[in-house]
Amino acid sequence: MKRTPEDLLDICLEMARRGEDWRVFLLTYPSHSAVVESLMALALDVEKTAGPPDAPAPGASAALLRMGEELARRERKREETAHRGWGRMWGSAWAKAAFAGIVMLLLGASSVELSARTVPGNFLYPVKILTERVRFALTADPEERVELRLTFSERRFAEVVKTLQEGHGADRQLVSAMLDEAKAALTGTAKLPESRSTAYKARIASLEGIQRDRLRSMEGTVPADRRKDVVEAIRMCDDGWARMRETMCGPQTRGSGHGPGRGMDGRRMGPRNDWCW
Amino acid sequence: MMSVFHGDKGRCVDEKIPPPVVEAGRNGDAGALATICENLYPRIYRYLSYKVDDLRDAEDLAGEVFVRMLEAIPGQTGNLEAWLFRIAGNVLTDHYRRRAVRSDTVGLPEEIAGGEDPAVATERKLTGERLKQGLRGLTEEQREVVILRFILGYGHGEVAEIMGRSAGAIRALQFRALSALKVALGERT
Repeated sequence: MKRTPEDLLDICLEMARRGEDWRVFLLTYPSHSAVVESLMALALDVEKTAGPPDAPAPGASAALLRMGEELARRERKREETAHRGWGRMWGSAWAKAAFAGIVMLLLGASSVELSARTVPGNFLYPVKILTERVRFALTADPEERVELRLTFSERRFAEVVKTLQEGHGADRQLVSAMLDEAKAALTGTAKLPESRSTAYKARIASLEGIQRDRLRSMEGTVPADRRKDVVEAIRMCDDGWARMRETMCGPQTRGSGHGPGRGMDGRRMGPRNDWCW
Repeated sequence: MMSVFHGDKGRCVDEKIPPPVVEAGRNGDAGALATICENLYPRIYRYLSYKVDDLRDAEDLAGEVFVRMLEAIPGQTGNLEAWLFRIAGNVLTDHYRRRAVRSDTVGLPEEIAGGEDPAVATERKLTGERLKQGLRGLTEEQREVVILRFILGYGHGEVAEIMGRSAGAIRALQFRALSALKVALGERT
């Protein structure tokens, strides 16, 4: 089959990509092999020089903060439409300074309760989420990264509770985000020494029971018309943890699959080895 | 020579950002938008870093891409990554306009334009800076295809989508681009 040098170059690039020996293939096209081989060498050299395309790049944190600022501005604008009075203030230098202060506060905040005040729907919520990402990106120590993931997971749960208390129903996205953070924390324990890893795994495993206890205790305190939302949140958490166990441990999870604390049937579970990890 | 192509080369774009995350991003979910930014920022930055002289500009422009993304993402359809690169192209155009510098008239760096001895140039190791200088000797389209195809590692289908050309046109363009780069780097053809 007659092939042009352009075709041959492309075929060789794809073969190289698949780890195949493109040089042997090129031998069958001696009239074009020299030019294609020299371009292949250059292409591979460019690849090697450029390095991995997904390697960390400078400015990622700044981009996240800019997005957070922009999201907050939009959210604020939306609120302005409803409450005209606030609008004039936001454009002022004072407001910009206040925004910077809030970002600094959120970057440094470690209290779950403080952060739980900012929930979805609040104009500062996107700032909080993006600030968390920045804080995580700036943290290099593996143990601190696991600790942060756990903190974020606890924050998402606190937000679930807050939205239930305020009568906004059970937020599926928040539950999902809470579990994602817990899963990321668990994944991060692989980089820790055995003793620290074990301690964090036990802590992660205990979250399920703690959360269920917290939601169950809410059942009796919220107005009757909101009780179904709490039950729904419990169901969503149970499903989420069960899915996470299945993902992390496979379908043959040891024991009943419930972490320490109380299982779905309400009985107190054993130590952390009820989980596969 | 062993292949140095990176493991994820030619992968489907959608594998990088799961569709539910993209969908949540379109609905304005801050966590999803952050995930999109975290995953795609390095590629956008790298793309821009080969397009502008100052790396600080590349950082600023990459940030601008994601701020613009917020504006348009609710109506976004199709390939998110290709779409982001088109935003990056627009951001670059505005940047060039601001600087009153047309990207396709950037002169060759003195070192290359001055006619360095090809034999010496061939022996020199290809470095990031030398590559960047070599790219300046290419047309805008040629530079684009080298960056997308060999520096960022996209398949020709993805490059075609980003550049709005057919896969066949990309195959021909990449051949011409590499040939031109070889000349720009002072290597013998």
